[in-house]
Amino acid sequence: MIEGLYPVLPFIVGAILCSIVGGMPRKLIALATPVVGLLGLLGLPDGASFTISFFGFELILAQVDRLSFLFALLFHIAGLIGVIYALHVKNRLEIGSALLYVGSAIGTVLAGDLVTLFVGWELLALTSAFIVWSRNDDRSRATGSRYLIFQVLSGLSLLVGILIHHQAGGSLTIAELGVLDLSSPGVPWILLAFGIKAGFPLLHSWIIDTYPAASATGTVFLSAFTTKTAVYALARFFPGTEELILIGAAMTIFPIFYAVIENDLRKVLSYSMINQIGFMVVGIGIGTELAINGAISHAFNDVLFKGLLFMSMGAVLHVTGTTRGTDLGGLWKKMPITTVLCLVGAASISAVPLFSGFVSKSMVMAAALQEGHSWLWFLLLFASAGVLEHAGIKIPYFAFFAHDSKLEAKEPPVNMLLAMTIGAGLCIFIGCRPDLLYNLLPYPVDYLPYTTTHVLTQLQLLLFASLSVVVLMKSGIYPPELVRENLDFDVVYRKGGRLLGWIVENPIARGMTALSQTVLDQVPAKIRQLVQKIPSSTTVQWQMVLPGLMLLLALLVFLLANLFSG
Amino acid sequence: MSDPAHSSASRIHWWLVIACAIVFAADFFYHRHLEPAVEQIEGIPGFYPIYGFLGIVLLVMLSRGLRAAVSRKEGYYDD
Repeated sequence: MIEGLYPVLPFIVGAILCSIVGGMPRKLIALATPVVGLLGLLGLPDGASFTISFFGFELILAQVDRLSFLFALLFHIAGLIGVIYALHVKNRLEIGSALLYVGSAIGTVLAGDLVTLFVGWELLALTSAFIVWSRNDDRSRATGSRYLIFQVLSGLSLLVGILIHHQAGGSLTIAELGVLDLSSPGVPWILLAFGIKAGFPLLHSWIIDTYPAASATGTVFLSAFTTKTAVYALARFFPGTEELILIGAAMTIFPIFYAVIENDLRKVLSYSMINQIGFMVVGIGIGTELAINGAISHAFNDVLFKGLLFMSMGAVLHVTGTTRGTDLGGLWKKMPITTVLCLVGAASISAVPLFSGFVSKSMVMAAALQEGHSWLWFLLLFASAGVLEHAGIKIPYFAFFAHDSKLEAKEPPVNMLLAMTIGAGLCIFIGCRPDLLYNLLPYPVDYLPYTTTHVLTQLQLLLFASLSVVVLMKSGIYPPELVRENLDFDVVYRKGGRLLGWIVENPIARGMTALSQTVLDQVPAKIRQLVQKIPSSTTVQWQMVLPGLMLLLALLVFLLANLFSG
Repeated sequence: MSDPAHSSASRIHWWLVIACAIVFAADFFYHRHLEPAVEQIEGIPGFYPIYGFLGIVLLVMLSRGLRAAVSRKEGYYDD
């Protein structure tokens, strides 16, 4: 371990170097980056902090406690797996922005004050948009822009929330904040910001839009960090906030229906991701020690098994050029290793005993019962069967089995296989030795996953759900894969956005043109005359204009803040 | 329909049926720990198998309805 190293620093240096050098040196630097970062993290003891002075303002770049350490550790592991998976990629933009993106996520979860958190939040948005754009085709260019709009709105909401919160006398130091109360000023804006990034219902559509559109390697990075940073933020500031129980429950339920009818298997995984985050949000909403432990450990496991599933579909995309269920099938003969690794991810997410999902998801469900939320428990049990259907059966079945698609295919490059093997190994390892993960959780764990009842009832649920899928498929009731666009809430944003564009282009733009032609032509002419009287050097002009602009901006923010707090 | 893939699939189906029978029968041979909050329903023998099976039936039926409601031709947003 390295003492006194801010873990984000290696990622900044690594990203710069990776965009300069090429070939083998770049691969080595990319690999070394998360390793050095991890050594830095391990050199930070519990309670350690990193502060810098910024224009007289003390910023706490890092404040280590059990929660932030666990997420930072997870992000280093996920970053390393991602780098290995993407080692063959020659796209400098992608690997450079990926390293910055991982660093931003680590910086955000380590942040010791709200200003640092906000900066990390914004960098997370910007760097990840570049990952989407780096695929550089028509779809990813358009999608990346839509993605960035959502991420920037999240950042804006966070900024407004922090400003109102601070103006009302709230502390900016995270250690002093504790749990935020939804009824105090500015806090709903902060929750909205987290909710956009976590994929709350109706705010979720960017996940479905973006993750199937990025490159095979890009999506592996994207899927690990943004939503889990939001889960960290929710667990940090909103544990026990009851509203989250309902929100989380909705997140576990609605995606499983879309997952049944969706043809693009990476889109199925995106719906699956919302469903899994739902379990975490429910746990955070319940807020007991068992529930929080469940939510956090499930976030940890989800990054690994969802990453593994996205990697296996990325491998399929890499060798066949598609992830559409209608085009795929029968690949197991040509990609046996990928098939087995995908099945490990499928078993983990379905919470099969001895795989990682089994030891974490059930903690949330047990906590729901302990707190007397019986209806919630029945709902989560139904959602668990749904997970098995789409992620446990549908993904591997349509890609590797089903009818033989006769597609040209072979195993992906060895670095991809290695990354998937590490992910699969961790899924099984945590499934068999959950105590090692439990020891890292925020609260002491008094929970035994491997009881006869839990193992047997889970097997009963999963086996009979599988039987049901088989029966429904054989009888032709199961909806076949179709090349279709399934409308989600996205339609409101995209059609709404077009309507807005039309309004701006037609009535507003025409009106403005008419206005400017008649009245406004005169005013600029007057201003020009005035400006010509001032000393003519451009720098002098800017020196006079800039403070005025800044004042105007500050006034605007101040007015907005007052408006929303009042 | 006598290709090898088909026969190996039906073999897996039979193993699945046997596994289901075993775990279903297990309910009658051990003392299942019940959660007090839901014991009246959870305690029904075969609760988990029935819930898992019917849960998927419900899921698939509702999904067919969802498809009827939201399915559009590919490229819907490109027009």
